[in-house]
Amino acid sequence: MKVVVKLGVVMADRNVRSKDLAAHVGITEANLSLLKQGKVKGVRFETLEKICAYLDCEPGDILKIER
Amino acid sequence: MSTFETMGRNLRNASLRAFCGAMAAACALASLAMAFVMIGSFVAVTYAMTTGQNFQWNRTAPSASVSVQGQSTTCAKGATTCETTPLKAFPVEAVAPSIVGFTVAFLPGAVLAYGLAEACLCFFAFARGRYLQRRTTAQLARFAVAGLFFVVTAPMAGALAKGAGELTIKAIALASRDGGETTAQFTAFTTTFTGANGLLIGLYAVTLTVIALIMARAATIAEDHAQIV
Repeated sequence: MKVVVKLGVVMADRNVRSKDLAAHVGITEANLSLLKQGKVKGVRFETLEKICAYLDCEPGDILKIER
Repeated sequence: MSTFETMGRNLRNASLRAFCGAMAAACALASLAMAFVMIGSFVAVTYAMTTGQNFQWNRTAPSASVSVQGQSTTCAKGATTCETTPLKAFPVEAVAPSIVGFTVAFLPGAVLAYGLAEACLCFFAFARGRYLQRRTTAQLARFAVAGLFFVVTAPMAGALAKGAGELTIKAIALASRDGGETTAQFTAFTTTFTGANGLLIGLYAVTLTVIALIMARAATIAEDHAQIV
């Protein structure tokens, strides 16, 4: 069981560019790319809140449990 | 992480904590011994001076000692010659300057005792697994500053004490200029802190080793934190 990040899918659904989202959240595009690939050890609530506000989604839409 | 890796890490952690506990006990003993010598010597010196007795503390290789040499000069009002006597019985006018001088002379040792107490608290916190807490790092910094103060001031403690004592003599002489006059002049304050430098070097070597081990852990935590976006 592991947590997978579906941010790329949600961004593609909403046709949002990484550059715009990274600028809104206040992180680098490199870090956003790592987040999209699930190559990070954690996400701050603040980051998650800003991503959800920009993409108009719930945290559960971005983070899923893969069994 | 494999079971062996986890076991190895736990073993290293337990060893480090046990070692830090032993270091905390050693620092506490050293601090108490230093404070006992400082306070005991100061009380003995003050008592000897105020009672007019000579202070002698003859022990084989004392860990810390302070002695004073000097002379007092008494001039009766209108007299052409003054009587000069060795500063053994400590005339009343010389007691206050001597106490000021001894306070300055004892200061490096007192600061070292304080530093050792801080090192004890710091190692105790390490032994409890509190490596990277603000309080622990502040204690470590205070220990380092106290050690630095001791290393810098200990070699010149005698000269500083002599200067402080003579300044006090001049201040007293300026304040009371009526009638006969007794002044005291300190030839030399001698301070020895035998073994303190060796103790500090050993303690710093151990502390540096412990800090290096803790830094390795801190680097791992920092890497983990860098991966949180």
